[in-house]
Amino acid sequence: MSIDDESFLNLETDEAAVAKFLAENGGDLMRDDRTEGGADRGIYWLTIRPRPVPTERFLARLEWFAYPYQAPSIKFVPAIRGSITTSSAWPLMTGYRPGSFDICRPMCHEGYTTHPEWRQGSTGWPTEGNPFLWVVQTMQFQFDNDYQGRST
Amino acid sequence: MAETERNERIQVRVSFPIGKKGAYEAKAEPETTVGVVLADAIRHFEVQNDSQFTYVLAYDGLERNDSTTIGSLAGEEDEIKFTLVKKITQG
Repeated sequence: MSIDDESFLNLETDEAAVAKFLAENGGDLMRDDRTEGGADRGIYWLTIRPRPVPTERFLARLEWFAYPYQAPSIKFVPAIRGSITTSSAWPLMTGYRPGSFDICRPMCHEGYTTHPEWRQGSTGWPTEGNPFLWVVQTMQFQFDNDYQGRST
Repeated sequence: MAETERNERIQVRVSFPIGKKGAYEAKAEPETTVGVVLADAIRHFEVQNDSQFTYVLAYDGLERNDSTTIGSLAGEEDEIKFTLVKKITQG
């Protein structure tokens, strides 16, 4: 599945701030169609570093469906285009569930699927500003302040 | 002189990626607490805490205590940049 042209253009506008933010935090951002063998412009690969353990790195797969209107799917993977069901690719943090391969929080497709009631009110997905940057900053904040190690 | 510099007001900037307004900016005394800046930023961005979320300020990636002064964080710098974080309590 890929995104429509409107979503593509919106992501292109917002992704520069995300790449800058991740670089400032020892991470990296790659769009799938810019990687070798990749073709999906709605998927991004994020390298995230937890501040408490700077030598550690996690690779997250963010898949957008309609940007900025819908929350992305977020999965942690062992390598680009690697399995999305590898528990050891996941960090141990509040709301992150390596056993279910999802994040049970109102910030991603999986969270809103598990809890449809989160789609309303203050837990609803934000569409103002730069939601791409918001979701990545939220993840980085959780890595920096709530990281408890890597899942096995 | 160092002491004179510490007594100068500090340029404060708070960013919030999903805010309806641009960044909150102000000049503040070094003894101003994080809690005061947070309250001003919450008013600026027109958001509020509820049962699902608590708003906090992060500086250099880390959540900062409300009682911490911005002068102690800024050190010799004449500006300080925070991020307003919508801290999820649900999940």
